[in-house]
Amino acid sequence: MITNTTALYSKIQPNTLLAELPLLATFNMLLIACSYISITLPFSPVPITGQTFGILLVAMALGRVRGMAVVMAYLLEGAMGLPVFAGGSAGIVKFVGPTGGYLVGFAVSAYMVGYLADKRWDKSFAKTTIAMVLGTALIFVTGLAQLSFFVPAETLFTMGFTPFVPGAIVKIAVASVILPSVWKLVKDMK
Amino acid sequence: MFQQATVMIGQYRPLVSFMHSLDARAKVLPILLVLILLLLTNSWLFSISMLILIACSLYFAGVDKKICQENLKPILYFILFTAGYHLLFSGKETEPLFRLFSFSLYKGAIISAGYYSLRLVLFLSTAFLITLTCSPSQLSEAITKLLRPLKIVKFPLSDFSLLLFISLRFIPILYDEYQTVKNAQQMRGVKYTGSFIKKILNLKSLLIPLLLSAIRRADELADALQARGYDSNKERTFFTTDSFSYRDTSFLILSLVTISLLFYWVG
Repeated sequence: MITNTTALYSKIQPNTLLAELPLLATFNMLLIACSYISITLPFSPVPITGQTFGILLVAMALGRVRGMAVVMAYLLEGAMGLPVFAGGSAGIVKFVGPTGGYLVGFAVSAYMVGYLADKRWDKSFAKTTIAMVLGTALIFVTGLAQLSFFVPAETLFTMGFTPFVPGAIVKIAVASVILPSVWKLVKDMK
Repeated sequence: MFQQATVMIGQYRPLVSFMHSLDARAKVLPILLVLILLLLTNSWLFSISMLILIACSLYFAGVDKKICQENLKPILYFILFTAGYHLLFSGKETEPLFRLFSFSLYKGAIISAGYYSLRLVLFLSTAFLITLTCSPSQLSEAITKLLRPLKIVKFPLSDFSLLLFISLRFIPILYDEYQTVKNAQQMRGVKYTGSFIKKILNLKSLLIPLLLSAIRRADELADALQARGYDSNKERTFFTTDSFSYRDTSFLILSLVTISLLFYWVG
C-alpha cells in the first residue's frame, strides 16, 4: 500500500486499502456534495461551483496519491453518467464540451495541491493559501485552454476567468481557514 | 446546501412497475445514448421526442405527479434563471418582436430560452429517471458490471465499486448530519444569516464538525468492514442477483434502436 504521506490523512491512517476505502469514499462524497452548490452566471457558459472548493479540500487533506484517486473516481463517476458534476450534470460528453478543460484541470490540480500537502504545506494558513491559489490557477489554465476552442478569443477571459475570481478567492479563503483547524482537531482526536 | 444532492441521489422509490423490474444496465445504456445524442444535436424535434419518451418511461415507472413536482422544484429556479438570461441577452441578431422602453424582445431570444430550458429539463429528468427506478445498489452493481472490461488495464474495479457504493449510500446520512450540526450550532447561537463575510466565517463552525464526523464515521465503517472479513480483491457478489433476462435484452435493443432511428430522422 501507499505509505509515507504526511498530509492530514497520515494522522488517521488506516493500514490497508480496505480500511482506507471508506475514508476515500467519504471525501468523494464531500466532493459530490460540494458540486451541488452551483451558481450559474448570466454571461458565461461556466458556472461558479463548489467543485473547485471540494477538489482543493480533498487534495489538501488526502495528499497526492489518495487525493488524485478520489478526484479520478469522481470524474469517472461523472463520466459514467451519475449526476455528480456541477448542478447534477454528467456524462462522458462533458469532457469534450466547453467546460471539459476544467474537469481535466481538477485532476492536475489535485495532484499538485496534494503534492504540496505531502510536503506539509497544509499545516499553516499562509502555505495552505499559496497551495490553493496555485491549484486554482492550474484549473483555470487547463479550463481556459479548452474553452478557447468554443468562445471567441476576445471574450475568453470575461467568460471563463474574471467572473470566477471573487468566487475563487472566497473558496480559497474558506478552505484555508478550515484545513489548519481540522489538523488541530484531528491531532486532539487521536 | 446538500439538499439537492439528497433529492437527486437518494430518491429511489421502491415501487412495482415495468421500469423498476428492468435490469439497471438496460436503463443506463439507452439513457447514456440519449445524453450523448442530445449534446450532438440542436434539433427541437429530437429534444421534444426524447422528452415524450422520458415522460412515458416515468409514467411506466409508476411515478405520480407529486414526486415529479417535488423533484423539479429545486431546479425550477435554475431553469427560470437560464430562460430569463436568454430572453434578456440572446438572439440580438434576429428581428425584435416588440419594444418596451429600452428593452426589446427578440425572436431568437424566445427560441433559445425555450430550447435551453427544454435541454435542462431533459438532462435532469434522465438522471431523475435512473435514480428513481434503480436503487443505489442496483446502479453501482450495473456500473461495476459495465466496467468489467477495464480490468484488462489493471483498473482497481472492485475498490472503485465499493467506493462508489459507499458514496451513494452515505450522501443522505451526510445530509442528516449536516442538519444536525446546523441545528446544534444554531442552538449555541451561531447565525447563518447576515453579511456575506459573516456567513463565510460562520461556515467554519458548520464545516469542521461535519468533516470530522464524516471522518469518524468512515473510521467506524472501515472497522466494520474489517471485522466482517471483507476482502476487496475477491470476486464481488451482490445482494440482489437479478440476471439479464430476455425482457431486459428486448427493452435494451428496442430502446436503442428507437432512439437511434429518431436521431437519424429528426436529429
